[in-house]
Amino acid sequence: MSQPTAPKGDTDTQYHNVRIRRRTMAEWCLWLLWLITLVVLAEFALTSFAEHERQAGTLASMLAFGWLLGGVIVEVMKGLELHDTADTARFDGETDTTED
Amino acid sequence: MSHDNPSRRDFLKTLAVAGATVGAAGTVGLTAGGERLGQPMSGGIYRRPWWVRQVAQPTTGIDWTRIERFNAENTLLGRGLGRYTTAEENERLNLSYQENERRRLTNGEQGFSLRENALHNAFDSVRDGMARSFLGPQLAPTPAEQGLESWQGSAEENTALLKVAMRQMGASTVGVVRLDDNTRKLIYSVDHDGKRIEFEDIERAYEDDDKRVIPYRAQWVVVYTVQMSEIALKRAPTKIAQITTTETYQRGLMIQNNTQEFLRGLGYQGLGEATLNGLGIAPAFAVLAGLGELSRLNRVITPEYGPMVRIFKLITDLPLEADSPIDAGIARFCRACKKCAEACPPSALSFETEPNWVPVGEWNNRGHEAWFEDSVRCKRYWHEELGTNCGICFSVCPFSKQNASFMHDLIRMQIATVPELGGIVRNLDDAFGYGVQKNPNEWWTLDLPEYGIDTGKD
Repeated sequence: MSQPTAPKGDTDTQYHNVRIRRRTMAEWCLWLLWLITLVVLAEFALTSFAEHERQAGTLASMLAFGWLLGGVIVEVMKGLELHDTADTARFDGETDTTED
Repeated sequence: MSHDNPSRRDFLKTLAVAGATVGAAGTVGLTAGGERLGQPMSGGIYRRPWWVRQVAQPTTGIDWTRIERFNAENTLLGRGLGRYTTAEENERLNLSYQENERRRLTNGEQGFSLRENALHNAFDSVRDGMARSFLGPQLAPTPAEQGLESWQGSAEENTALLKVAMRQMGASTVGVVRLDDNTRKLIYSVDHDGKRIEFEDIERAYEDDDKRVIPYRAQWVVVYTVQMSEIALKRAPTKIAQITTTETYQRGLMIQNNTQEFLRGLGYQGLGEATLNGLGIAPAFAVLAGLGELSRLNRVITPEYGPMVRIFKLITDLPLEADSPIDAGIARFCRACKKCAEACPPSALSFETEPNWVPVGEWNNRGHEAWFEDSVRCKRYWHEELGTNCGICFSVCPFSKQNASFMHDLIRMQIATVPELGGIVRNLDDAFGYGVQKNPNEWWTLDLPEYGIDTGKD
C-alpha cells in the first residue's frame, strides 16, 4: 500500500499526523461487549445504593470501575503499540510513488 | 495485512466474538423486554416476564385424593403452641415471650426500644380495631337499592375489572382460583375461632354462632398479595421487622373490606377472612392462582417480590377467569440454595434437597409435596429467645430483593432458564452481602418510600 511522504525540507512541527486505524469486526464486537458489561455494572452499582444495599453497591462500583479502567488501559496500550511499530507518515497531497 | 481476505483463524475468531456479543446483547435485551414478551394473567391486564411460565401443574406435587379439609385450629396461629405442648409449658413460653419483650424494651436494645415498640403497637392496635367479617361491612349501596341491575360482564371483563380495582386498593398481585371438588378441600373445615365452614346449595352466604356457610355458586377464590417492606424486614429479628408484618396485615384487611364492598356495589357477594389468615390455606391458593411457587420456607415466593408478601383470600360469586400455576424456577432454585434453612437459628426449616410428602407435624395438611418445617421449633424460638416474631428466613432469601436494579431481573431470568447455575447465584448473593442483617437504628434515618415498599414490579 502506498504511503504518503513528507515534502523535502519540511519539519515535524508544521503538520499533524492523523492515522485512522481500521478495527476488525471482532474488535468492534469486543468493545460492544465491554460497553454492555460496563453499563450493566454501573447501573447495578447506582441502584444498589438506592436500594440501601451498601455492600452490593460498593462491590459493584469496584467492579464497574475496574472494568472501565481495564478498557481504558487496553485502548491506550493498543495505541502505544501502534505508535511504536508503525512508520511515521506525512500527508502532503502528493501522490506517493513508492511501490507496495 | 489485507483486510479483504481474512484468514480462517481470523474468521473463526470474529464468529466467536460476534456470537458472544449477540448473546450478551440478546440476553440484556430479552431481560429488558421481559414483560412485553410474557403471558398475561387472567383478565389480560397484568403481564409477567416471559421466564415466568404458566403451567398446568404447580412445581411441587399435589395428590388431591389425600387432601382433606383442614382444621385451622391445628395451625400454630390457631390455638398456637398450646395445641402442641402441655398447659404448663404453654404458660411458661407465653411468660418467656413477655419477659423477653419487656427486658429488651427496658434495656432500650436496638430494634426493641420504646420507639419500635410504639410503632408496632400502633399498627397492631389499629388493625385489631378494624372491622373484619366473613360477609363484609355491608354498608355500600347495592345496585338493587339504586334501582339498577347487577353488573353483567364476561368472565374476562369481570376479572380485569376486579384486578384493576384491587390494585387501586393496594393489592400487589391478584389471582383467581376456581372452586371445585378438589380446591374446596383447601377451605378450612373449621376456622381459627372454632366456627365450622360449610358449603350449601343456597343463594346467599350466611353466618351464625356455629358456622359460616358458603353458597356453591360462589365459585371463585380471589387471592391477593400485599407487599411487605424489604427494607424493614432485613432488620429481622427485631420489632422493625414485626412492624412491616403487622402493617401489611392491616393493609390486607383494608383491601378485603374494600373488595367486599366493591363486590356488593356490583351486586355480588364477597366472603372474606373472619379471622386473621382464616377461611382457607393461603399458600395453597396462592400457588394455584399463579402468584408464586411453594418454597423451602414452606411459604410462597413470588417472582416479583420474593417471599416479601402476605397472602389473603376471599370468595365471590362474580364470574371470573381462573389463573394457572407458574414455573419461574423458584422451587428448583430452592433445591440448591438452602440459605433460609442455614440461617434459621432453631433449625426449623428442612435441609432436604427434595421436597417430600410427609408433614413434620399436624400443623401442616397432607397430600402435597413441600419442604415441611417444624413450626413448633420456630414458634418456641420467638418465645424463648426473641420476644418478637422472627422473619430471618424471609430476609436472607435470595429472592428478597427490591426491584430497582436491572441486575435482579437478569438473575431471576437466569434462575428460571439455567437452573444449573443456582449454586453460583447463591454464592454471589452471599458475596454481595444480601441477607446480612441491616442495622435497626439506621432504619430510622432512611428516606423511606410509602409503606417502605417499591411498588414497581421490575
